[in-house]
Amino acid sequence: MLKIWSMKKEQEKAENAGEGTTAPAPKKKRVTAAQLRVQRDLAELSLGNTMTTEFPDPDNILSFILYIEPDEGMYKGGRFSFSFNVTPAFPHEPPKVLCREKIYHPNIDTEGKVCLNILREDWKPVLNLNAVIVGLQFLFLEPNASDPLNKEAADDLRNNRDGFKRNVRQAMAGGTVRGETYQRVLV
Amino acid sequence: MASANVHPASEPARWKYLDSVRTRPGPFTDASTFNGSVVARAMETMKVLVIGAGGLGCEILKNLALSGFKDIHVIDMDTIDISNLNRQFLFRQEDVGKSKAEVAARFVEKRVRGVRITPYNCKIQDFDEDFYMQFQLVICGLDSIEARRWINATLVGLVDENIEDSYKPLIDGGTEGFKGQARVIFPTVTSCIECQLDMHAPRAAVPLCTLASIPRQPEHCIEWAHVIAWDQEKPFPQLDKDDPEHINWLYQKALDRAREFNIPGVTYSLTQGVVKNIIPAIASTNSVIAAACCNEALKIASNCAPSLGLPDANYMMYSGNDGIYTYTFRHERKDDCPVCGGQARDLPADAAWTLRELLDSLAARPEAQLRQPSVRTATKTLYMQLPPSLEEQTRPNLDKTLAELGLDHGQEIVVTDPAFATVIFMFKLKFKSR
Amino acid sequence: MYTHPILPENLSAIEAYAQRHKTPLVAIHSSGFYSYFQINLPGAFPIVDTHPDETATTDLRLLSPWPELTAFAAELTKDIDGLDDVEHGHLPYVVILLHYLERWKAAHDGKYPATYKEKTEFRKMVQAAARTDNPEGGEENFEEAAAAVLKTLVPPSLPSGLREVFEYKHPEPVEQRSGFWLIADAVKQFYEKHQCLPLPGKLPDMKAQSKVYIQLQNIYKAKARSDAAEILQIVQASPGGERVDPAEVDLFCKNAAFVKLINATGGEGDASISRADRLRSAAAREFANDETAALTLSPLSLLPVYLALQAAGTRAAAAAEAVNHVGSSAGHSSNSSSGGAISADEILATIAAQVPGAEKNERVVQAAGEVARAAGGELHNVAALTGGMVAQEVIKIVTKQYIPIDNTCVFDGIASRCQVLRL
Repeated sequence: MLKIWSMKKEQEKAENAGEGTTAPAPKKKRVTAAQLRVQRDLAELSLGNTMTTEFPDPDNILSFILYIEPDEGMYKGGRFSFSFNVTPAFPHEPPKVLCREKIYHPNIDTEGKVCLNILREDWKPVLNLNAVIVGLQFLFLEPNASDPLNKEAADDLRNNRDGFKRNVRQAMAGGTVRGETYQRVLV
Repeated sequence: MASANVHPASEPARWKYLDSVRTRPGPFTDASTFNGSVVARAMETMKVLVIGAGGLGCEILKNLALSGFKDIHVIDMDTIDISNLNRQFLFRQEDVGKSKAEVAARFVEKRVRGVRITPYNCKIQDFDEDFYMQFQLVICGLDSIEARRWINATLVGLVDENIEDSYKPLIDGGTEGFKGQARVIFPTVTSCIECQLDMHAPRAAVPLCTLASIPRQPEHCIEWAHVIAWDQEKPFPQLDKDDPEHINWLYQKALDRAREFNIPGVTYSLTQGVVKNIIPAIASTNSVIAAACCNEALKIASNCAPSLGLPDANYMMYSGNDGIYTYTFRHERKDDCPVCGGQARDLPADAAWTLRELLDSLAARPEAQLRQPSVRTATKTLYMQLPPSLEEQTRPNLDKTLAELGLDHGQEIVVTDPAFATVIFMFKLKFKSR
Repeated sequence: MYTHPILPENLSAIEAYAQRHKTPLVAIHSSGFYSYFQINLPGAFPIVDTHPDETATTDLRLLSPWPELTAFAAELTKDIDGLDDVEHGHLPYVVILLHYLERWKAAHDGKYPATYKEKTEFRKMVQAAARTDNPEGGEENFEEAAAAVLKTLVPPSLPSGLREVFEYKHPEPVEQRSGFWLIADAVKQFYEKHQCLPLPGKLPDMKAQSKVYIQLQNIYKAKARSDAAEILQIVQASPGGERVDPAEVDLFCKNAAFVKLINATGGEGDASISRADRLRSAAAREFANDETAALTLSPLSLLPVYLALQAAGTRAAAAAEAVNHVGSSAGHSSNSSSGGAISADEILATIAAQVPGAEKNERVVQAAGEVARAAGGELHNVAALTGGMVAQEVIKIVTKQYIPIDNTCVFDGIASRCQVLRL
């Protein structure tokens, strides 16, 4: 006899003196740790009136789209979408987030990669999905020129703020800035 | 059974040393579980599963075979690479390209008469719970945290409080350079791999913007080539980290970038190391950790001495950098562990209830009084209060009956509620009408 | 390398050979769930390439900067408040600390922050200098600078490993002329002259513009090269020094703070007497520690395991010798003799002769019982584990890298743990 069995029995005896036996369960697929965390995180999501979500498959909560429509700042009037893919390693690894449009932004490159510290080097398991969406929202209110992914956009923001604003409007309208054509995101 | 080709008369002599320890009690043996006269037979018939036939796996298979286990199974999806041969001693040059599990099994069977080793050349995820249910003991020699978490969750999931054989002890070994660990997990009884995830240090990441605009180290140039340049230029459809042509492309890109910023130190081997996240494997560490794991297997299978986890320390850390140092301690189980923490409670219900009625019954439960519950199963989102789009999509479910939603007697459901931010409730439906 | 039990005559032959040829010896004993191995080095064994943790090796010399470093920092910070946000936010933390250390000194009679209180005050000063009117509400490089204050503002001192090297009295003059000792002497002279060790030259990664970081890195590398050149000069000026490989000097300079001397007291006196004495004093120490182990939460000593194993080995060897003398099948004695069962009482009697009183210790009695159960037989796993550790230690000794044990490692396969004892 494996000793584990006798140990389990002792542990049970110590824990509860006689709660009825549980329902014998047909073995089914178990909920994963990542699913549990996402279920909890979604229930705490505070989207305000500038963000919405879309679940292409409501049964798969690990994959969804976040829409942001900034109501102030230089990106006001645009509608930006980010794909969220939560891996089985969540929350020990950050969710994978990509901007789905090609946009002109110092912290988002033309492939959609986002430079947000908590999406990479500063991610911790105690952080939640809400922290990520707050971070994304902030990028549109306060684009950051000092550590850019899109170096041209950062140079513009640093050296010529008004020019940068004009470029943002132009890019959001689907225009061309410094030879790159951007996607129309105006609502 | 499997010892047919060993002359019966030679068996006792073969295992003389082992028998003097496993069949006779010592000062540390727990008399209540030890029965020396049945140990040899019990170990011969015990089915042991080894996961991984690499650096640790080769050692583990050899150790188990030489410890009196005779029905060993091994899973590994990998094939033998030339770089394995320096430490994965069951493989020879002519085996390169063949299945690790198959070659390892054949070698040990040939070398240790009377042992049967059943190889599986596939992923652990290819098997279902019925497959894992047949083993009495599982030993892992893996390099991936993902695979460890998967098998851990599977073994915890097998536990049925009413069936003794559903408790499968899990022994896990791991090495990195001169460091390693051996741990024993008794699912739902002692701390599990998920409880212990904080023991694995996450890989330090460099900010994306550092890679993009201010690289300083050769590693930054390589990561830039890997993360940014590859995506922009897509030189090959899919990055294959084992393809020298792909690594060379990354190396050249990194080299150009390093030249641009005057950064010294980009080499081909560093590129390979950074991209594949290689930590050198050392044969002697593998030997130590695999032997420590199999030593636990022998103790668990024979009860001839207390194993790790019974009842105190369950984790041995080993370090051979500075002298030799081990730290053997008890890692506590986490009550809120998402894998082994919440044993599902029974929830009385009726197949004819609507989902809304089920949720109302949750609000009335004295222990929780869940007023804003969101409910899912492993595969189906039943009802989510938030975010609004998901609420809207799942609202029609509220008026469907549990039967219509495909929920059966014994179904596990997960309930969250903003009023209990850190708690996750697990319930098992218990239909009255049975 | 040899395994116990071993015939006394074979053992003395091996030991005599090892002594004559200055060959390291490894004794290994594995029985049941227990094992130990013991390394006997022929003399003091210095290691330069100890592979310390990368984070431990940082020496930025912030409290004794050299002119090039001071000038570089001063140039970057001469108009620190006038820098634009990008430049300010990318000043390397080394430069930030050097700048504010100058300011601190100006306000504190030219003294560096020395006490813990002063250092935390200095840290506050650095934190307060960060700009916060930006999108991130702070500056990462200033955070790095603040975090580095307590770690890096440490006056140069002599690490214990190197001190032992400097103070080591050579029993034989031959040893003294090896490359290691010539370089050690040169480093000692360097240390006495400059009050610091040669600069290792490695600059940790820190937030900075690429160009500035590379410049700073080159300043550290150049200083490391010039320190190494100075030491090479001293080495070459000493008798026999012209034969020393400059690469060996470079390696020593990079690792100076982590150089380690193993077996420093070896080689003196009559080996057999000192060994017995050492065992008794180790026993006194270990058993005293065990008295308080519960309070200090430290693990119990594994010396009982060692005592029981080697007592059983001594008994088995003596028994085999007796058989040998009768004249029956001599030769492959060790294996067959280890099969002879030795009782726990016999083991305890042998221990009593070596360490009087130890045979009454409850844990020694248990260990003797466990060794008796094994009846001299090896368990494959324990043998494999011990073999792995032996291989690892032998590789360390042969390659002179990493730090080998000094000198006995005991493994307890019941508790799954090791202890290294100097016996």
